[in-house]
Amino acid sequence: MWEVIAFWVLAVLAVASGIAVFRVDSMARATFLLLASFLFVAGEMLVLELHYLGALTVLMMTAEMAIMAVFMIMFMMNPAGLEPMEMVHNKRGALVISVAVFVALTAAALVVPWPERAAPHPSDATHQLGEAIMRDKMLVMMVVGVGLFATMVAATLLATARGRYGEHAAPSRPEPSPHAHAHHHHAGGDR
Amino acid sequence: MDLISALRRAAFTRPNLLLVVAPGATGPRLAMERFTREHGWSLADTAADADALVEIGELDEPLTAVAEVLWRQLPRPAVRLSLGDEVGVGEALARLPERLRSWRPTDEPSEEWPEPPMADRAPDRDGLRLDVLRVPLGPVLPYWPAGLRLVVDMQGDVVQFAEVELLGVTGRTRPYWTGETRSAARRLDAAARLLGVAGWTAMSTRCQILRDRLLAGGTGTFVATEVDRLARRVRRSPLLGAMLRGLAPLPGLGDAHERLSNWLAEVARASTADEAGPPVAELLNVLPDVVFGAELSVVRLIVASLDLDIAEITEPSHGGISHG
Amino acid sequence: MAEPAPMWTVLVLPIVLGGLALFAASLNGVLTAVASGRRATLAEWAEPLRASARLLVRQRRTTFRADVVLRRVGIAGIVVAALLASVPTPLGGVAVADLPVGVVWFNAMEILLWALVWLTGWGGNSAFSLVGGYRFLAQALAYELPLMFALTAPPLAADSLRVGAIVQAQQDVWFALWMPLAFLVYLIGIVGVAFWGPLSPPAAADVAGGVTAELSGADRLVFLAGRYLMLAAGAAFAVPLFLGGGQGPLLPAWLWSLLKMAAVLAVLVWLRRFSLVRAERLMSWGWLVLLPVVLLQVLVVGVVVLLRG
Repeated sequence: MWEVIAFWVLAVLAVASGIAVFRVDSMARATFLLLASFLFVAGEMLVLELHYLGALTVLMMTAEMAIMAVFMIMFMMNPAGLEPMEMVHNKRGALVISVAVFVALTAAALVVPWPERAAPHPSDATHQLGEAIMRDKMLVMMVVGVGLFATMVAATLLATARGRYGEHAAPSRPEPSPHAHAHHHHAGGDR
Repeated sequence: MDLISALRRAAFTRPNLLLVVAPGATGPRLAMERFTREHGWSLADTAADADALVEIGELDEPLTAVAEVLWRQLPRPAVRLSLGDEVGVGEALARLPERLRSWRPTDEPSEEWPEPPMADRAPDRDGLRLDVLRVPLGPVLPYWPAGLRLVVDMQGDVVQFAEVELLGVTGRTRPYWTGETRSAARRLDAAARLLGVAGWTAMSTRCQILRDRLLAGGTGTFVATEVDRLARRVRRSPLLGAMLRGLAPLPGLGDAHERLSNWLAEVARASTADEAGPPVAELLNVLPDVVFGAELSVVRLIVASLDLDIAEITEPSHGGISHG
Repeated sequence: MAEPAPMWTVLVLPIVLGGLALFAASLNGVLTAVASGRRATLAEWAEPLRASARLLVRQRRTTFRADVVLRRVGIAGIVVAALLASVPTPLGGVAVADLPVGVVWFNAMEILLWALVWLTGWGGNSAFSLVGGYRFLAQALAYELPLMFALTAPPLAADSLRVGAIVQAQQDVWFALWMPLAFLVYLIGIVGVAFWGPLSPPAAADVAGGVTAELSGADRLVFLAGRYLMLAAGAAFAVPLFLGGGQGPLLPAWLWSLLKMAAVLAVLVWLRRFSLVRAERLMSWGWLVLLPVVLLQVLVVGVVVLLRG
């Protein structure tokens, strides 16, 4: 009984915080509402006794959202907090796309003939998951793993082609800038 | 005695102090540090954690303005006091807990915040346009030279532009560190501050204790042996080495790590008079260049490693030195 | 080993963890006092209580256009995360819940601080407090992966993610003895999670206290308490993971657990006597030293498990 209640409460909270992502006027709040939504989904997994996947979702999503917040705010002129900002752009297009995606996903969920559970409830879902990854899903995991690893190495190489500090900090192409102190900026080789 | 007043009594036995120090007011500053250390009080890092704002020495107009802004940021209950010289320090501080306990709300101006500047944009190292934020470092910051404000433009964690402003230098400003004993004590004071910025607080406190012992006329040999031991530990620490080696190498002075080792070695040898070091005006001139491209924590270490005494600027402030 | 937990354990957890946190704060205060040339009197041991009273009677201030909601979530969240992280930690043989994936659970709760510390720094809308939040994330990128691998070594040897099973697997030999590198990397990771000692740049004096720069009154109290609770939670979790849980002669198991927890915590607190590590150095050390070392350790553990059959 309490599982059913918990399931629905968490489901409503997950969707509600998902909607709230687009209703707030600050980058930071949007990011962490999204995280809240993921955490409620992780709660769903725990309720379904998928302990490992639940804990892993908390773990991965928290780290991911924290890093995402850093990147988003790093690239924004005004990360909100000082000035409110709209979280929705290209409203009509966004609406069309999101409605289409929602309908497609919902239809898939309702229409697809889900297989009946053949085996009894596994005594240890974590063990079963490990077996699946290390046996028949091994190839997929290997490909994904190598792909991710290659991306990480490539990104690191691009980022560290030169140092970050000292003379490397100078703008590579000093251009006239409206910034009040632009004339003070150092050219790379003047020291 | 009810619970609230008992709580209040205990609460203010060891207040946290935020210091606004005029250049050259080193005497009362040292007396203050000594008092807080011996009585278990703390120096606050920011206004948010301070019970009392202490103005030390004679503040000129810009420094008074700084104190005014900070005073409005102090959470209440809070007390403001000013100290001219080291004589009255103990007495004034001893009265502080009682003053805090008897504090009653008055019609003070409510919270007024200086609006932080919005980020601007400028080309970064890759030629992209990225945010730049103007951040003033000082004049009130832990282990920071009195009367110095270093205004930096930061892109991310990297300094892209720096400008020196001097506050509080008046016609009556006199340097404190004169004579042989005080010169030796100055080295320990500088070492204490650099170690403090490097987060080695235990060692920083040790330097302060030895500094005060030296100034109080402690026997030279005892202090020298102690400093010698301390110097060896500082030289051998791999963590500190990783933090300071290679930072801001200057001709004749070495990098930050060598400067620190030299200070301590000088005190251990009990011979400081022969090495005066470059005048502070010269160091302030090169400072913006030295901190260019540095990360914020490195800027703090560099400034501390230069041992800047603004009171040595002989002519009164004329709007500060600017360099870019 | 761990029986189904009775309800009272839910009440015991905050008391024990709070007691450990208070012990850490007191020890920190006494170390400060001794370093300052004062004697370690009873008053110095009680200093955290007095400091708490001070913060309680003081006004709570915010900054100009602070994001108060996010900041409060960050501040209070750390306390909650520390308590939740300790749910699978057994005292003697009893944990609040001996979750089937206890080790992953601890990891997930500890990683919540990535979000919470950053939120506290961000919410203050002040440069130094934000720098503190970012410093935490920068450090986290350096220590978290080695910490995760260090956490996998004991489950690998015990063939279970359940903390109770890990304790049982140490009946003959503590894991700290035959996987010392994993233990060491784990402790370094916990120092990072609680941004303590050499890894305290997120709250260091050079940026006027960093994340704590704008915290006053009760906000500051809760934040600092959360930090000590996290340090205590990390020290406590090391005991079932590496130090044989409540195993030991003569004394009852719960007392052994408590003594071991306090000992680990004391070592962690003592680390404050070292200087800070700069973020860029930590990044190199984390990825070029800690990560290979801990991977090697996991490899060794794996080979041993295979040979044992």
